[in-house]
Amino acid sequence: MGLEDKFPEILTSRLTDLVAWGRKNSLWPMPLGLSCCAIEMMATVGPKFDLSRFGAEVFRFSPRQADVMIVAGTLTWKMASVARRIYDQMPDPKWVIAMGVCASSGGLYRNYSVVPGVDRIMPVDVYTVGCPPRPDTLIRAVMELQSKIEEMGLDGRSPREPIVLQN
Amino acid sequence: MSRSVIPPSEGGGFLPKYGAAVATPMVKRRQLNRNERWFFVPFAKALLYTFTRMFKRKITRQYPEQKLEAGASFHGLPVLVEKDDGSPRCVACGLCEFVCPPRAIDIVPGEIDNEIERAPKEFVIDMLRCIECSYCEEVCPEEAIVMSKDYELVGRKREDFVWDLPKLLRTQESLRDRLEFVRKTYRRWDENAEIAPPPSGVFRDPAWAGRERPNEGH
Repeated sequence: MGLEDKFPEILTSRLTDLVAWGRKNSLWPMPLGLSCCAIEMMATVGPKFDLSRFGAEVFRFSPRQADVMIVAGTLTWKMASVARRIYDQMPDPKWVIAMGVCASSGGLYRNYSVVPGVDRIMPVDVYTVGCPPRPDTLIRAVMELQSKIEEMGLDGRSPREPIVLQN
Repeated sequence: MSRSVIPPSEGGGFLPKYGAAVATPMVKRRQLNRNERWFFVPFAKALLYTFTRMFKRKITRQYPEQKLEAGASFHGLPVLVEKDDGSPRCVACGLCEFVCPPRAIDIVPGEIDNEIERAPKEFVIDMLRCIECSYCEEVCPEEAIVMSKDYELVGRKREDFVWDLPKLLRTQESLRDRLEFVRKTYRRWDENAEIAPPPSGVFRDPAWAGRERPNEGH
């Protein structure tokens, strides 16, 4: 129909697709390791599971250089304001993975000191089960996040139009 | 002598203006030799180590293609075992609901029209609360709830993790090794059940072989 008919050796794409492709394959996580889930998160970056196969191995301890926050562990109300501040310091577009049961729902800790799910204080994109989740599960969460980013538009939040192939 | 206290006249410590004379000793650094300053040998050693790793065995598991081969003792997400007719084994006694540390299980009991008389009308497990501790499996008198080998559950909404009865039910065939493991491990009061020998400890000690238990009769 267009350019690719005349020059079949050229790949054409939309800018939105290109940006989404770039974003999803170069996630820079901000590791918010709060308890034992952080150990599994470290194992995920290690040689056996190797998160760098998905382009997400550059853990940045500075929120300004990160775009996905992995909340790994029990978030207490005392820590909640700090976690929110770190989230606010991250540049847009940004995503959040709630790793493990404690971060996703509070889990075992049904008490006054623990936030019942980090979605009380920040929007969560992917939830993960397990106490702690195996590194496989975190990799699966990163893959789920990648497929979510692929569906998003330039702002990284709202869904974009699907590609309609015309023949 | 690598450590020596530098007097304040040479720039070490400080002279207190008031009160007692408290001097902070400053540590003089040892003069590094050329090898230590250039740092070439350790650097080359590290590079050589990294290089030799290329010819060693590869230990990375290619996750989405190459999954974990879980054994019978693996704690995955809890599921319900169904009878041969497809209904759950569960009799809705509520023990698992009671013992569950994060209270992830929610049961609404109901009546059924046979000799068992009770069955769950609703059985809901919030997988986002479940910590996979297997207490529910241990406490269940009917071997109706066991840990499966599913562990890689992720999702975008919290509602996706609330599993109800049709989602939880699994056939006995798919859970066979775990059911055998449960029967052997927890030594159910079924007399005919095969019981694994105790792994170690006093009962394997030849000194106690054939004797009665030490505190028998007290």
